[in-house]
Amino acid sequence: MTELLIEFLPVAMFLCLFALFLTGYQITFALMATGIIFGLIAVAVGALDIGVFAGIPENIWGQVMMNDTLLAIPFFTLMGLILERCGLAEDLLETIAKLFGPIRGGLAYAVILVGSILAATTGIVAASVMAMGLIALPIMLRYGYDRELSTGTIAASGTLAQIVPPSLVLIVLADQLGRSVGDMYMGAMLPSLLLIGLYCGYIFITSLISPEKLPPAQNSFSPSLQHRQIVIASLPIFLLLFYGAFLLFSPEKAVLFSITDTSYDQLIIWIFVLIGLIAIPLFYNLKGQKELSDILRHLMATIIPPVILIFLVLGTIFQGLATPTEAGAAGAIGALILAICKKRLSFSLLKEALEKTAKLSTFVMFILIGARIFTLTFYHLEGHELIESLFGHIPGGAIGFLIIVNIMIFLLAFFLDFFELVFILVPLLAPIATKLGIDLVWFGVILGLNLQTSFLTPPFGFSLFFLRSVTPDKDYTDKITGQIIGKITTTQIYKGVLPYIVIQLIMVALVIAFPELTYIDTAQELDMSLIDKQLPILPPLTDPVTRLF
Amino acid sequence: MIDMKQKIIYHVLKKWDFIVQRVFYILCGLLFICTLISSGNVILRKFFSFSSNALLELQWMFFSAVFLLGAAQLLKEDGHIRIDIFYNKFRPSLRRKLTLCLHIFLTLPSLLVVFYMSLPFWLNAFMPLSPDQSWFHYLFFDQSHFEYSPNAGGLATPFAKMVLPLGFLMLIGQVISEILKLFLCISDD
Repeated sequence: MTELLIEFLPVAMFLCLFALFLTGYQITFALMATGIIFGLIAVAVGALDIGVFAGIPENIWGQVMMNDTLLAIPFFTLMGLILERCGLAEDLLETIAKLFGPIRGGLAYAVILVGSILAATTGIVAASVMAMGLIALPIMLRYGYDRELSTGTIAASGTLAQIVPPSLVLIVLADQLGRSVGDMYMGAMLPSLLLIGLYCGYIFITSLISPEKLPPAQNSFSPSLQHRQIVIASLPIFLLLFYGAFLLFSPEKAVLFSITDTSYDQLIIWIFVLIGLIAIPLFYNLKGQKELSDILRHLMATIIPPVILIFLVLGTIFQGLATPTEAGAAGAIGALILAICKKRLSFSLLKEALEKTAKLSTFVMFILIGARIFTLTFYHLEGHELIESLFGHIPGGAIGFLIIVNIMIFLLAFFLDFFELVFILVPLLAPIATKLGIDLVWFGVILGLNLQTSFLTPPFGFSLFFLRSVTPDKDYTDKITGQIIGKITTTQIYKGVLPYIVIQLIMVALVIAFPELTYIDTAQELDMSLIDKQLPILPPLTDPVTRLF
Repeated sequence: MIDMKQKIIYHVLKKWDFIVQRVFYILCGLLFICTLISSGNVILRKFFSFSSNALLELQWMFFSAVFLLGAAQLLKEDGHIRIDIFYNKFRPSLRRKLTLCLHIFLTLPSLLVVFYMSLPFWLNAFMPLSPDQSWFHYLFFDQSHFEYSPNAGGLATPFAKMVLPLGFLMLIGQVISEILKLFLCISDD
């Protein structure tokens, strides 16, 4: 009888946890209480020793407090919050929408581009979606963009923050999978760029099939200048920035001058890029086109600071100059400097940002503490073996496992936030994945993409709530044109994100099919002869003093 | 008579909330210092080839103080995340009763267990006191009795380990305060 009870305890734990979750009790306490109450029951029936509980403080100390990886969470959050408060999103949207607007579908491209830049800087989904819903949506509606397309694009682009490095999801996943955050960022880089490309491709195809959904906007820069002129003049700026980005992410390509140290080569190229950037508006100024020069300067003033911040943070991580944690802290200080330069820094801004950061990191870390206490008992009751035997019999090997796990997480993500999912489920799934020969970075990127999709899925997707909270639910009069613009219905938002969910699922399938996308080395065997060569031959010790030690 | 009791409880609750709030403000400052230290570490290492394990350890020690001691404030503001699919549809009185029950029967005992277990964990970071030493001397002058982190030049761990029981103690205090608040609410209903 007792043995049956002990066998049943891990199952009961999960059921009990799920029941507590559904009552809406605080998740961290639900986890903690299930772990401890069931631990006490197990002690009472003699399945566990009371000494198991002594592992709790050890665990919190070693896994949670001393955790260097998760230390990045407050820093990246602080950086994002400061950038959000100093109006980065608003500035970017205004400028880029002006630049892209007159192209067919331009406003949609602008939303995707701004969404990606915000994702790589602020990394806060709520902030991106709300800012774009407040600023870009009225402009899109004014020019008669399709409602479903506009809302869908905004929700999807805002959600990019979940997967584009430096995202918190990837940090948490890296921590739980036991891989370095740098690897995880590197792995997510190409898939997220592809994802942005697919979004743009969707807009492009729509503009070919039904151009009436994406009418071009008016040129709003200046009446005397043609839009084409501005675009051509600003093209070199973008090219230079792309070149800079290319250099940063593939440092070995920077050997142009073959000076011994690559970093000096890069420095020289960077100086050239900067001189080029400054020279462009100067050139037009000297040519007598003062207006164009002013527009270009304004454009650069809005685009370049966040781009530099991205380079500073991601570049230092990829080049190994700083750990992701330190890069996050440097990014936060960079954001602070940016806010000072924009003259938007105040004590209350900093205080609010710090308070919000402290609260967010507290709730994340406390879910982890709860999950640790839960898994401690769960492991001692050998629940992980139960799960392993459950998942070990999935047909289809690694691919079958990935498909089943993804479907499961996709469904669970309707109810659970990604922190809970990652902290509770991933430690259970990671050993099985390793046994099946799945690279954990690959696994992490797939999970990240999947969790990002859950932000978009009706009816509980967070992005949809964020967008709904800022879209007009009554007909309103446009301030500039004076025409009456209809309200946005929730159904329109739901229909709008559907194509993007399909794109997301295609992307998940692509990454499962082509693991190379995540930069993992599938086969890199050690060349023993090379290692032998690198060992220096040490001179024999002659000095009597050194010989003594 | 009942009014008098309630007044005292209100007063104590208010004081407690005030303390928790103040601690939280200090923690925010600590978080900012932590950010400065961390970014300072990069600059020191890159440009001055200087790195110190003490500074590296200070980062996570400060951060763990922030989240362990900040948990009480988060509970006060009902900031700990919950799944609110059904919760939002409950009547407020049902919500209160449910939370009260779960607080008393699940959270309070489990927090007490964690606190009880973390106390010896903290105290073990001190080496035993020899009979000829005074506590004062032991704590403030002779630090050779502290446990140090295994890294070279690492910091003494007792101060970092202290936030573990302290944080859970504050959390227990806050849970009790929440329970009392709910009692007062329910008796008002």
